[in-house]
Amino acid sequence: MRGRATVIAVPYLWLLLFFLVPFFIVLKISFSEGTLAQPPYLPLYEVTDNGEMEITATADSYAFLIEDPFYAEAYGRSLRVAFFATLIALLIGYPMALGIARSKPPWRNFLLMLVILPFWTSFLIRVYAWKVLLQGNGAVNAALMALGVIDQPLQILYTDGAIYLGIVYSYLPFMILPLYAALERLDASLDEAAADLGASPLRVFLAITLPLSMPGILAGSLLVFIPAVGEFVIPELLGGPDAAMIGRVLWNEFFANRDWPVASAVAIAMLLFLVIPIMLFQRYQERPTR
Amino acid sequence: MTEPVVHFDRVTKRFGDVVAVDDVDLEIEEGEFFALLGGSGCGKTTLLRLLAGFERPTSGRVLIGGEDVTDVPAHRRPVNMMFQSYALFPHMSVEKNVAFGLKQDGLPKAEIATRVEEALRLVELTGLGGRRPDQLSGGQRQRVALARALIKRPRVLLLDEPLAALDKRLREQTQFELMRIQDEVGITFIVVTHDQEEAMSLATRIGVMRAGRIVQTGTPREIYETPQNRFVADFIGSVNLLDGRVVAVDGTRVTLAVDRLGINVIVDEASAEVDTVCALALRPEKIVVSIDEPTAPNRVEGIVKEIGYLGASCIVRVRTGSGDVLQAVQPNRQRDLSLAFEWDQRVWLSWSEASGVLVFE
Ligand SMILES: Nc1ncnc2c1ncn2[C@@H]1O[C@H](COP(=O)(O)OP(=O)(O)OP(=O)(O)O)[C@@H](O)[C@H]1O
Ligand SMILES: [Mg+2]
Repeated sequence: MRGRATVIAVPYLWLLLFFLVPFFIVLKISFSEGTLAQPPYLPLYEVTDNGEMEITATADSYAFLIEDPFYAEAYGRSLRVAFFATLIALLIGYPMALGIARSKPPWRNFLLMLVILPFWTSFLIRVYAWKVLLQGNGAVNAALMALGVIDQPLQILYTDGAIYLGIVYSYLPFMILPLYAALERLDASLDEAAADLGASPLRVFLAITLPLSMPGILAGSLLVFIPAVGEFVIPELLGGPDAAMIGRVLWNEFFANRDWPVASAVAIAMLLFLVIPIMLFQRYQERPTR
Repeated sequence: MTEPVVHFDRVTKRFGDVVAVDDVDLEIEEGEFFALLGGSGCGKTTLLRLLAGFERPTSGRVLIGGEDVTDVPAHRRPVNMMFQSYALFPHMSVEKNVAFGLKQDGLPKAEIATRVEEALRLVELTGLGGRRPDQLSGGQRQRVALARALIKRPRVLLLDEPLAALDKRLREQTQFELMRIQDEVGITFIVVTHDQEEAMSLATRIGVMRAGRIVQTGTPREIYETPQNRFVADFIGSVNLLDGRVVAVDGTRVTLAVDRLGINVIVDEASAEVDTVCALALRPEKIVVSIDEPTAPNRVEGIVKEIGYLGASCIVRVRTGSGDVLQAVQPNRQRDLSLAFEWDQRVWLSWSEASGVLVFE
């Protein structure tokens, strides 16, 4: 019994230490008033000289977020970029996952390894490599010009296109792996049964494969969408200077403006945007499958 | 003479080095209840899959209703299959599962609904249409699979070990249901099984397979009473094989010298040439066990080594002078008949001239 309790307690302790405690610290800062000091925020309450407690907590930071359209735009932009990047990753990842799941076992392991291979290099280095590849005299432009597709270097770097490319490239494995797991489990005889009953290959896919792989689609999409919303490195390195995504805004508030309360409020708001899809997903998963 | 509904025209299927189906030539007539019988891995499933269109033959042709369908994909073939694992669609209700085939044909909704209801009634599942497959018992699932495969009224219905997952009682009950349904819908059934009793009780004709080949086809009675070779004799039911050499032939009356037993055996209704080496296949229930020496010409003496009580009958294993053991099955005509012989008792075994068949190879 002791052992079991420990096993259960460890992950909760982990969650408490590294998620809940930081969360409450950030939440607390978001309700504080900013100041030019170290640390750059005031406590939530003060005990005055005559022994009374004075509440200094304020929702000013949140009001600021709502008043200044800059933040709403940054959120909207982040959600939009994350949404379309997820969609692109799904459209590219699904056929790949299906192809791997349908290939012969020895091939399958090899192809899976190829999917995981990029993780052996640092994420930062890979994104930086794209920066080099995409620049005016980079390999991509050189190749396009050599093929005669274009006769002048394209401005790819520092566009939204480059952000999409970076996100899709970086998070594709997170899409493919859960999709593969879902597709690999599917019983091939279901496809055969559907074909046997007169369904063309396209109908088999739409009526059998696609609905049965829905858990994989949802899991993969969340694994791409959630980090993509808060992504900082990719828009910072590949996006234009005005590509204000929420991750960059957060960085700027913390480190450039040193406005910790506003930065914390930005972080809390982003978390809420992310928690909602996760909860929807949980609901879907728990829905009885019968 | 009408076209056979199914014709395997010298079909061979190889998987790498494995020859799963080896030069099979088989015709099945409209309305037959044909059973493919054989041991594990002999190619029964592969043969069905070739007919359903899930496998392409390495060589040969597959014809349905006289039409060459070798290159026709599965979804355009007029056959439906009931899968061994049932392969019910887990995300669809029973009704949707059963309706699936009709929906692919784009039938009007109203007609689909009536036919689904009809099919569910046929397999006695009325009222369960709203359930999901995982809310059904094994037997109910199996009947959903049957209804789903039947609803398109295919020319041929393929059933891959349809009853394997059921317990014995349910299996016997379902066998009769299958026969009733086949009678009602009048479709040609091809059923795969490795259970010879099931094949015997279900089928109008049986094909016995071995290592990718069909070694004999015939009615259950033909297969049981006149097996054409040792394998079929041994595979279907139990049998005593007495190896010998033909010493005399008088019309259809053949005399076989069984050296191991030191006797000459007379076999009627046989054809063989003198000096042929062959064996007499003798079913245990054709042998009579007696204590007094019988008058029948085919007889041998031995010692009772084992008596197995089976309820309706007894299996008696008798060791002859040469050490060979013969099996005889005796009906229990009286309640205490099993006490008639005892272990280590001397008895006589005898059988009539027409009760065994000669098998070669
Ligand atoms: N897809 C495949 N790839 C390689 N070998 C196969 C394949 N399918 C079947 N085989 C081989 O072909 C042979 C016949 O298989 P099949 O499934 O037809 O046997 P079966 O008679 O149905 O056996 P069982 O009674 O065990 O179901 C076996 O040796 C099997 O290993
Ligand atoms: Mg099989």
